[in-house]
Amino acid sequence: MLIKFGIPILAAVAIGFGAATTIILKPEDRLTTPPNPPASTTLGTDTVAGLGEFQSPGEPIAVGSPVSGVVKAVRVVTGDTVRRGQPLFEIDDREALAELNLKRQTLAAAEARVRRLKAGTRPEDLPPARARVEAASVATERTEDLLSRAQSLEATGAMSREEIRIRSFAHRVAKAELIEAQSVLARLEAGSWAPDIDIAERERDQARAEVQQVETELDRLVVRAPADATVLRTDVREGEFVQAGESLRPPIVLARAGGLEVRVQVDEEDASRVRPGAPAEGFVRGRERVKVELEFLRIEPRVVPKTSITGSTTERVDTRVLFVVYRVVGSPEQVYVGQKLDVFIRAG
Amino acid sequence: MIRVAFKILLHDTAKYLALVMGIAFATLLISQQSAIFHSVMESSVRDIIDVTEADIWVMKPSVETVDQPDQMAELTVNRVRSTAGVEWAVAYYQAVAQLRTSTGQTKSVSLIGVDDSSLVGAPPTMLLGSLSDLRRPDAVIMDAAGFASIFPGTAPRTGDIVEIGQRRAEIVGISHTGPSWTGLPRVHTRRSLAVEFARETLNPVTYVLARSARGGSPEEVASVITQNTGLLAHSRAGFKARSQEWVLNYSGVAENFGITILMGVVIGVAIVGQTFYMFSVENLRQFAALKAIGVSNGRILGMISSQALFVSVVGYCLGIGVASLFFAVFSPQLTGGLRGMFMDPVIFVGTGVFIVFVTLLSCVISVRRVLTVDPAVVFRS
Repeated sequence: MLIKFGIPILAAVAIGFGAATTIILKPEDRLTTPPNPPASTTLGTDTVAGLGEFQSPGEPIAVGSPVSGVVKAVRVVTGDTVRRGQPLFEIDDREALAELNLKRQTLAAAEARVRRLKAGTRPEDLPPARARVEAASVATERTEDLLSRAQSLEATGAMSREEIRIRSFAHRVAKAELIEAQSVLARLEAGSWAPDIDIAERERDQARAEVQQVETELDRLVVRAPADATVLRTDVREGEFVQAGESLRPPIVLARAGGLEVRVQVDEEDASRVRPGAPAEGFVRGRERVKVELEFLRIEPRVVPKTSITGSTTERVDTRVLFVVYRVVGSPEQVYVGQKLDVFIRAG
Repeated sequence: MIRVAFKILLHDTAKYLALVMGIAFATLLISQQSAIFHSVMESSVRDIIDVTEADIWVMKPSVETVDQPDQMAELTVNRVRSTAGVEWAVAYYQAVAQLRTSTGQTKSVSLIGVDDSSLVGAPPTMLLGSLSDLRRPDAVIMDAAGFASIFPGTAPRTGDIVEIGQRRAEIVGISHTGPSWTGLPRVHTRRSLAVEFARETLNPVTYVLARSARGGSPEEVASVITQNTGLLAHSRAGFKARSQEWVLNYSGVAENFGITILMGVVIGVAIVGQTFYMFSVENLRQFAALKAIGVSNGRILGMISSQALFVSVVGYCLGIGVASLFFAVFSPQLTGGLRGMFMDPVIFVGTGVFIVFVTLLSCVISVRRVLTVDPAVVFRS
């Protein structure tokens, strides 16, 4: 009885268990949708995909310093909006200030010289000179008188010829002395000589130019924004030494003001499929896949080795790419320079 | 007459049991070995199975099997993305990296880098933690079996800090998946991190995973990708088949399991055939008596066939039940090489069809003596 019915019942239980186990254990093999699906294009089927990066209009401006020196003050912080000409940072100016002081003194001296020349003769010098002319004139009159008297006696022989000649010589000396006194007076009355004034004025101008030169140097110690921009990075602090010229670590990086641009890397294999003016769209990478409308700007007409845009300074070259630059339409919120996005460009 | 047949069958309990058990054993051997073989072949393409989001795999033309990828440039993703019929495409990276625990123990792990923003390729089943934790710095997800092999005796937990490729990594989640061909612990992380863990100098991808646009067949899109890019694209199923083919060609696994399954068949046929033969021979007198009272050969064949059918079905049910019990016990385990093993319904049904067919065949062969027996044998002895 047990065998007769037991075994078939056991078999029925076994097959039921087996069927249930098989159905339950069989893994589900079904395509799932990713929680955050990757970007896909809405531009139709024929597109060229590229990796884009937001950039400021043109290229970022790496502001350098025209002179080397210790930084005295930094006037901006990262994120500031600056106007053209606004000071960014200042370099120690003590040496230039000292030189400016010296040059200003030199200028003052030159100016004084010009003033003195232009003022002419001191009034106190004139009366003695006039007096000397008067005295010389009187002396001339006297010697003339003596001479004429002697000449009238010449025929009489009352006076020796020698005496007459002595009086004649004395009169000539007195006349010459009168001329000298008169010319001294005339020079004093005429005042400064024009060429002298000219020289002094030129010396003054030279001193003034030197002052301006130092002032320009002082001005160069203040580094200013070359354009309206946003400060992307400040890599300089008070007391640090900055080198003049190009630097791997620019003290300040500016982003020109204006709408963002997107620089798209297209694989060289796909380069021929991109036409100028082709419409494009981008999807910002990240949790929220923000869609960005793009407007064609230019194709950079050369293919360059691709550098990884992971932000690392060491270049990683694995292929060559064409750069296509687009302008961002409108102003999407919360996107930043350097952010990456997946770009689709309509092909053909 | 059927009743008589069953009476004859159940009359000798020991023989009846031997028949049933023999068939059950053959069923067990065939179904269980086939199912394990099938499961092992599935394990050999674990990486493909675990990516449930993509239906197209793009690789270098030199790739033969999923476990031996060739590296491609990162920009390849964009070339696949540019292909018509592709809904989306993302990068995928695998490598073997060195893991070092805080106690200084080192272990090779299978590193899987999933797409940074969409996390396509992330493990499908999470035991602890969530996929979004992968976005945290230095975050990795380890499978439960791998965790158990690295931290023996520790219950799965998150928060452990390890070093992978001499770089800090934090286990933020524990996943569960079946065994893989290499048996290495499986560590999922973002691709950008995986590249650093593997100490890559370039920024490579090993596969590009793509999804065909709605309505398109993955095979067609794959062939378009192959044509346009000069790379090799397979549909998910196609790549599974190609990888498994490679495994079968370059390992003895097929021969090994083939021999076992063949042994099951041979043992099954031998036991069933022989037992049935003996059974028929011993019941020769009864059949002779039936013939003596005028029962036709056809009737007797029907009787014996119904006996065989009954015995084979009962035996099969018992055998498949035991085989299922094996999988029911070992498959749900979190660790161990048998986890996630299962019996495909095709094997489940196919074994039954095969066993019943073989039993009927052997009974027909052994019944020849019954059909030719002389009814006079009843009256002798």
